[in-house]
Amino acid sequence: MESLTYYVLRKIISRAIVFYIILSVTFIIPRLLPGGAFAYLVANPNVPLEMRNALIKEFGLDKPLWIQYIQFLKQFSTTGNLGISFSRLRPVSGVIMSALPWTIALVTTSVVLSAIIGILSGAYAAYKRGGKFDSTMVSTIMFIRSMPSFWLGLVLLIAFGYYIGIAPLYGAYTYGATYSNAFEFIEDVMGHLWLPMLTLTLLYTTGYFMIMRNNMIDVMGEDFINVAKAKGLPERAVVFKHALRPASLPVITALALDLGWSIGGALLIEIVFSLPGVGKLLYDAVYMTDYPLLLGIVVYTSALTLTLVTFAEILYAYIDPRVRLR
Amino acid sequence: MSLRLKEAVMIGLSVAIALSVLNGFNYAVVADQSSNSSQYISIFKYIHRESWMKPGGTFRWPMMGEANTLNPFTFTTSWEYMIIDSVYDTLVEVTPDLKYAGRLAESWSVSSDGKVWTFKLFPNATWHDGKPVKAKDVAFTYNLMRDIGNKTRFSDTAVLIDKAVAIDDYTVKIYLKKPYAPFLYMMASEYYIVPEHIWNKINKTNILKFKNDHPIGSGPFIFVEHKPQQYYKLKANPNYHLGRPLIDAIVMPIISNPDAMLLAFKRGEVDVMTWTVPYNSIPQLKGLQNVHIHAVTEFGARFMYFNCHRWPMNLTKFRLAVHYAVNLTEVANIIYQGYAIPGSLGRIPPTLKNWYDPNLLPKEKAYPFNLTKAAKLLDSIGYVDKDGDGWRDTPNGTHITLSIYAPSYDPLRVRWGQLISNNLKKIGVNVKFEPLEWTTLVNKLVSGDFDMLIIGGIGSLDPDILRMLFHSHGGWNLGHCVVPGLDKLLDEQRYTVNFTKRRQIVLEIQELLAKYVPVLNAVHQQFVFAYRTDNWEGWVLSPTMGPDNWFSLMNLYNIKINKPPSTISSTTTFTTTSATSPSPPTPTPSSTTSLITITQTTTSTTVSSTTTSLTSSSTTVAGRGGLGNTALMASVGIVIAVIVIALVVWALKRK
Repeated sequence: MESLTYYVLRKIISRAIVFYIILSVTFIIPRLLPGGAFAYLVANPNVPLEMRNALIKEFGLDKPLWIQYIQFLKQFSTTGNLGISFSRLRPVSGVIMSALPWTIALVTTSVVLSAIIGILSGAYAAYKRGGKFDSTMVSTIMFIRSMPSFWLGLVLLIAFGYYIGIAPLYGAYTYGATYSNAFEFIEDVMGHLWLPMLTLTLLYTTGYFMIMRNNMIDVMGEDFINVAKAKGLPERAVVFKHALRPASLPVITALALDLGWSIGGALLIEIVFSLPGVGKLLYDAVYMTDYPLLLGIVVYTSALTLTLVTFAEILYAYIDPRVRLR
Repeated sequence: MSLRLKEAVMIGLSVAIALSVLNGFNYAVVADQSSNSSQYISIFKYIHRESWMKPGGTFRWPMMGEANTLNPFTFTTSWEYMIIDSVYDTLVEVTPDLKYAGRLAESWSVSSDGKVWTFKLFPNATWHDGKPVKAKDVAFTYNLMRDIGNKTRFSDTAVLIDKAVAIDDYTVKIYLKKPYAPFLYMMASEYYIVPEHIWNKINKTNILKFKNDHPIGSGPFIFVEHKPQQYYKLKANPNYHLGRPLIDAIVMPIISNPDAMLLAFKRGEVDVMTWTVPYNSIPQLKGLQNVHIHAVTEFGARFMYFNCHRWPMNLTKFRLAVHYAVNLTEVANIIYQGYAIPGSLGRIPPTLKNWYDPNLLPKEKAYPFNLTKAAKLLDSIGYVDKDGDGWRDTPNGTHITLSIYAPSYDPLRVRWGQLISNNLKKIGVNVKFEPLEWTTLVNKLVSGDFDMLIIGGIGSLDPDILRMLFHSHGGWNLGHCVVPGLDKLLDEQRYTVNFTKRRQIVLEIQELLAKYVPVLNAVHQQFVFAYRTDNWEGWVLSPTMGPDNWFSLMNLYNIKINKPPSTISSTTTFTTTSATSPSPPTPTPSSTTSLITITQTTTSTTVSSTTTSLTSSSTTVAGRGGLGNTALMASVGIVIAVIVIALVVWALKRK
């Protein structure tokens, strides 16, 4: 068994290598795509060829790929600077930071909410396995799970936004409105975000429910459950005290992954509901072949995911020494 | 979803094109100016004010994407145009009836050699920071473009500027290196004038990186704020030299989902559709109260390139055979549901009456759909089946497969591409039809790796665009077809300032294009916009402009605040030809011929009085159809399906 310090160090180094590979791949692959930089300008008669060429030169894209790569690595490793977004013409970090709060507010709330709902309903379904609740939930969850996220969002938007008229059709708050205090603003934001949150919660819950239910069924067959039952504990206590905790561990891992990927995870939902988040930025970056912005979003996403996963692993290792075994 | 959005963005670009060429063009006026410098129209003729009109209200003008830059020299999208054209002024403005009126310039004249333009500015124009707009600002802008114009959207025209000199505070002379026929259209109504005292501090070499976050212009609206990916806000300029707009403030929410924009428009949450309405949504809009639709015909075409670097596309007979193999009237009427004019052989749509050649036969008259004739033409170039496998081979007997690429985001173009492919297959041409993702398509186009390729747009109210498309060195001649004698004519028209002479050359060009058919112009598509009249009245409509044009913004007044003396509202409708009147052409086979003949000059202003209060109230319920119905049915379907599944499972478990 290795020491905890060594284990942590090993994890961090391996994650750093993974991060570097992600960085390089994200740097190189988009630049190799057909069409090249500013391809979206090609069929726009308002943009003469000279302007497109000047743009390519201005952002140093006429240089050989390896020179661009070395320049980027130098710039990123010394200053942490991700460069200027081609389309937004502002530093990439600033562009992402202005969109990040919206995405985090939207996704974190939905993920946490659906984790709670998923754990509880999954546990209950496993407890009453084969019952009415279980079979109804499983078929409903399968039904929602098989729907594309944007489609579910669109249907909910049209139903609640247009026909029932209790949800706004676009935006994160009433644009152009003035607020007398912060609570009014928060109220307005919640009035706008509840429907995308509902959509995301529905989608995330499906995953958590299935993981939880299946794990719970496994755990219910373990020896310690039989021991607990043999002790004469009430069934309810066995399920919700003894089985729930070990069964929800994989859900916590999934939660960490979902939170890490939250930055780009709500892409289609943000576009359907016209929200000012990072997913929308990612879409624009891909469409406008905005390499630095694309790279920036991937850097933020992967950094967050890797950090959260590493943190979770270290936590496990601290809690359970068996994890450190080779 | 992503396809739908891609389509959205791409058609958005087409709209950008359409919007940028809103600056209509009537060359007769320019020709008159060459001889008589006092021929211009007062802009006040197009700005309608009554004593009872009071300013007030917020106009909700949606955008679909972020304005990436507010730099008036490097912007590329229609969303950017919306803001820039409201905040900055040009020297002249093209009117809805395709004439020129002064916007910053009160009057102008041109020297007899066509090289020196003199503009007199309105003396009372001011920048939004309070300083007066002077001739030195105009001279600064034009000299700036001469110096760094090669990096901007004006690189084609900026090279023509010799110098600009401020004669006094309100007079400026612009010297050109060569006489340039489309000066007013391509330069004076395109170059936004910027304040020297702000722009002289900007690093000229970095113009492309200058975002211009908070533009200071002289236009009717003042830039207030921008929240990234959320909205833009403008307010009325109370000191605007052409009169304060009656709109108090403009909020421009960013609605990235085109379906949501349509729903928001239907519910009255935005006042105008800035995004073209899908044809299948038009019927439901027509039934709604206070909702009106307006069609704008493109100046370019949906067309197909032939790659003349390859056999057999380099042969005129082959290109003619392809023309014989498609029925464009059917394409326009069936695929485009009548919202298109069959493509003109001379490229210029019949709606541009100044330049369209009325003697030119429409394609269905000159080369009518006839597969037998197409097959005969193919036989005549030795493109016949040598080995009896059913496909035609090259004259030396090798197999050949021709590729046709089309943009996959546009189902309409994919459909007529498919139609041409199928027809060619019927006469033994081995065709591989492939819709491609946009960047791949563009890459094929630019690198010349295609046989035939379908694309769209590339139009202008000025025929100089033909030089870009068909000159052997033209930037858009990506099929590299060379038509004998065409280069000379294309160069000549550019420098011929005399309208009559220039028109003659342009007609000759069209005759040549019709004879050698270097591209297949399938249709001139119509883009449909919609606007509401329950908050705002005074819309200015023109077949060349969307309803949310600059003139509308200057004329709109809020009817919730203003009580017009009578119940009759006024929507000003300008017409250039009746071919593009707001109602779509009826899809009849004879429409081709009728469209061609309509070239009469009706540049008069017609004020169509329409009662808005009662006419459409009976049909409000009918509005909920199309997209909405599908979604409602889908959601009801989901609920029912869930219940049914649950019941079935429950019933099974009970046993």
